[in-house]
Amino acid sequence: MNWKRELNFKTTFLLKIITQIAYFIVNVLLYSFLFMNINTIGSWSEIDCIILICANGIVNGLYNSILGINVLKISDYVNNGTLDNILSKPISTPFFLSLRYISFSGLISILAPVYLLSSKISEGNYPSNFYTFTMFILLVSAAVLIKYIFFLTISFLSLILVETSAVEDFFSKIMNASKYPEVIFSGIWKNLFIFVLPVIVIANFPASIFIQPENMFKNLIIMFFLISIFSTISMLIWKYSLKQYTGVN
Amino acid sequence: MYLTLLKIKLKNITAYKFNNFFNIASYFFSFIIFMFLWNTIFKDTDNVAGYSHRMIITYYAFSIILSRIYLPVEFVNIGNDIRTGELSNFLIKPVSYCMYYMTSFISFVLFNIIFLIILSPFLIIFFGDYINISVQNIYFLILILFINVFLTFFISYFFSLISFWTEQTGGIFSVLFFIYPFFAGTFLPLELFPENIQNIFYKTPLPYLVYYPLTIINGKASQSSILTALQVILIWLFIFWTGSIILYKKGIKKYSGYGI
Repeated sequence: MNWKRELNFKTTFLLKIITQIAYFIVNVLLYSFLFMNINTIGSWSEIDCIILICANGIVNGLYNSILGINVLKISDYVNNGTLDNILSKPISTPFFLSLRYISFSGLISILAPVYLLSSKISEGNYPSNFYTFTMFILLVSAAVLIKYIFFLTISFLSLILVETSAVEDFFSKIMNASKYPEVIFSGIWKNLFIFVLPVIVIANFPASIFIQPENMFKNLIIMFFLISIFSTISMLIWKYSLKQYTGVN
Repeated sequence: MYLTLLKIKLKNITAYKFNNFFNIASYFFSFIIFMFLWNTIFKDTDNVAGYSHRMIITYYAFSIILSRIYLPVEFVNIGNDIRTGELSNFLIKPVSYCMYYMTSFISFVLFNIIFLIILSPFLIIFFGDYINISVQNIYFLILILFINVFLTFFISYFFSLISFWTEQTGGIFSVLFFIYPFFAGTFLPLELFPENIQNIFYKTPLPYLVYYPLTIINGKASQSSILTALQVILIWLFIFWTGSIILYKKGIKKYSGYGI
């Protein structure tokens, strides 16, 4: 049904794909232009950074197409009163809210970072075997899940605050920093951007399979730790928000 | 009358304190991330495309603020006014349609100047050691920043007036917002781009809105180049100003006022 709905507007569908691929290409070009003037960012080479941008494109593409598109709508449901109807359905509300729509144009756009990633891996001296790719898929899935739980928790705040667009905008801007290599962060900031605002986790951790394979298991453990902590906090906030929610309509 | 309108618009913007707090916070985070990136780059070098470490930090500290003020905005209400017939109300009132939107835009600029004033002490306290402002051509800088307010407004107004023909201008502004960070130099200073791409950027007014004032702040612009830039800015202002007048006059002839 989602597929048919999107294909009803073929031009818009194509434009969305073109825009998303163009946005990805622009991010790659930005690094290319930067590396025309510098040799490395810390210990990261140009290809390392492009692999990071690809991982970032894949994680964000998956998140935006499957989950983000729905999470963004939660505050609208609160504002226009639709949430009251959804709450009365005999189904888990967070589940229903999260998986209502899928953006196929977004999913198709992921092909661009996937293609570039595979070509850069074969071009450079990076591990590329079945095990590496399986682990990459696992870490990408964990990153998507972390981003989802993080933004879902923020959207739950709309049940209390009603208007949360500024908060969502603020955290989206911060999460945009996931395209930068983790080497730029150090000390307390690095811990903040891993354990509180999972900026580094989103793209650097999946990309680390190719760039710093020695950190793979450490990163995987951190990701599972974050998933369990964030999902517990998310559930607590959901229950609290639901108690505070009085209905807007 | 426009002064009263200005006060009302300013009150409207400042009413959302929660949003404004997050705007300030997002400024700090954006700046801190750029700072981390360039601090790492400058560990291995002391010059990137003619920029020292302090110059590049100064560049980003101000580019984030300037790109808030000098970002062309889509006046969505113009399209709505045309579609719903609301424009007819303006036509029978002794109010200039252009001045109405200009007042609204200036209130937004004033708010951002207040935002900058609030932010300045924090910038000086936390990042004072990194920031280096050249006062050499400060009067030219103020003049260019002042003219740029009107240039930004007329770019926004010009493209929003296309609603007379297309009803919606969202597509045009999507393209504009997409190219803006590159052309205006908010992602990277223009010197870091290949020369042929820089030449394309300079064929538009966008580098003069943010990038050029930043070169003056960094003391990289000579007085003769500032005078040339000033001429270019005035030419672009003239083009968009007269273009807006022509579009409005032609649009009004086409406007049928349905929906009244």
